[in-house]
Amino acid sequence: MLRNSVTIGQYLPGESPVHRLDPRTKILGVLAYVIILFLVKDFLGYGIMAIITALTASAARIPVKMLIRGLRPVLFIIILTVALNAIMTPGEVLYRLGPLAVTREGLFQAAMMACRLLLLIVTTSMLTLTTAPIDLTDGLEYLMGPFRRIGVPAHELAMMMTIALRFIPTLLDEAERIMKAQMARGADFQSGGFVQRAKSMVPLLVPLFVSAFRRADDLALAMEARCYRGGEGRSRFKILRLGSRDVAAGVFMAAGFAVALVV
Amino acid sequence: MPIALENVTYVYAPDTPWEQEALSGVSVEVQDGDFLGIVGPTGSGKSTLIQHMNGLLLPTHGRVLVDGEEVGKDRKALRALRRKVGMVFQYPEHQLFEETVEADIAFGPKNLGLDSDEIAERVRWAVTSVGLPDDILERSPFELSGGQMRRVAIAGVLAMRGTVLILDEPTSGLDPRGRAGLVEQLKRLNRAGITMIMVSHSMEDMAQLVNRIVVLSEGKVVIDDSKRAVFSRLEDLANLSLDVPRVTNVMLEMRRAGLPVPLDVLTVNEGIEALCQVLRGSDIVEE
Repeated sequence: MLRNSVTIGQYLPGESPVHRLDPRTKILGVLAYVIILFLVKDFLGYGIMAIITALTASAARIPVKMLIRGLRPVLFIIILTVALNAIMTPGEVLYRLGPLAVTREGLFQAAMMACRLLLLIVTTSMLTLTTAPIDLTDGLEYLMGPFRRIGVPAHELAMMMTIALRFIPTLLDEAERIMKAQMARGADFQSGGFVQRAKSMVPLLVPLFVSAFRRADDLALAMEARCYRGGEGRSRFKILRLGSRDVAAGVFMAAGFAVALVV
Repeated sequence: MPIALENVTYVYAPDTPWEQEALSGVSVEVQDGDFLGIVGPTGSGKSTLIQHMNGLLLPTHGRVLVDGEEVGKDRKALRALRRKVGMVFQYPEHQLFEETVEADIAFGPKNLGLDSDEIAERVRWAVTSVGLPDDILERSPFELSGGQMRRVAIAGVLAMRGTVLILDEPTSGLDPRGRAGLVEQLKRLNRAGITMIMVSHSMEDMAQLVNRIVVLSEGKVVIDDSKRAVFSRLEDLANLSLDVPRVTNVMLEMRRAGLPVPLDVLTVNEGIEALCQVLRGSDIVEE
């Protein structure tokens, strides 16, 4: 199925301690992780960051296979970054091919970049793998709350994200069904040049948009029928509370990050 | 063009936490001219099963033979197969995309690379076959009623001129008149020699249309028999939370109330006849 080939943003239901963390803890943790990742300047630091990721992954009981599968779509970007870094950095030349020169500094830089990207992607994907989309947007809404005063529509943004996330699998399924229906009428989505292929998308895209608009219409009506009128004064079904688990996770991350920065 | 599934197993999303066996060891045969019905509770693998019949899905284990050829051996043959085995998905009106009905029905024949005379001829034939007037061809498919859209979509598949037609819940969501009209047209197409395979929750449709029924449950074939034989197994069907035609149920209630009516009654007319016979019979006894 189409939806199984899209792993980014996918949620892997579970009952692990990481799954049960408050989404805010996880969001802030990942945010801090990403910032530290760009501050760390040597391999020892990356090693410690990798250990933090590995420990979290094992605590979350995420199969390694899943994490690797998530890397597949960005593999090209990583390879490109490594290649560019290796040849574009000036320094002591190790190998020369025409105008291209691989330098020692370039190789070092490339390896750093590769580590950084790999850890970045694996760790951020761990956030979505262990957090249900609804919790994720809930957490974001809480975190964006303080910015409401400067005009950030926190609730509306969170609601839009919730709805978008909710409809990704639905629309993927729908796309697959329409594709199959058109294939049954002899449509060909795979062969031909670029123009030919773009043209062959019309029988897929038109019905997909029609159905997306229809669904949007239905949803808006259903929400209004249940008196939805924005975030003002709306009470919550699920109230987020930080627990001892979140404190423990916070301490663990702070310690890890400190070590990574100091070494 | 007979279709045979031999011991077909299909696994969705293998090697992931979402791995799921949708079909396990299913064997089904469809002969030329058959009208096969497929029933089963939601999630029993009906849609997965029919998608094997025109190569949209290929079995994880086992094989599918169409006209004696194994499906999936080479990619070219797949397109040829889809030409011969038409597939009407659930809510087929959602696949309409062209500006006019005519252009939408012509999409399939155009993909076959036919010349414009042949295409025009097929469009006209398909539109008549589903009981729509010619003047609908110029209109936009998006301004039609639900029932008309459904028929336009079916016409779009018919225009491929396949010898087998697979339909997934063709009557769901139609009003009674739209339903009756569509049932009539399907009957006619089958009589014209097209092999039909239909998935439906409507036992009324099954009773009126098919000659054989395959009952699926949890990815396995549990019953494969003539429709009369299937509908007489009331308890087995009830256990799978499947209905029988309403008339059959009425007969069952009358039997329970003490009238010796037959249970293998599938249509209202048969029911009236059977009831008359029983009542007449009992009158004679009383005299």
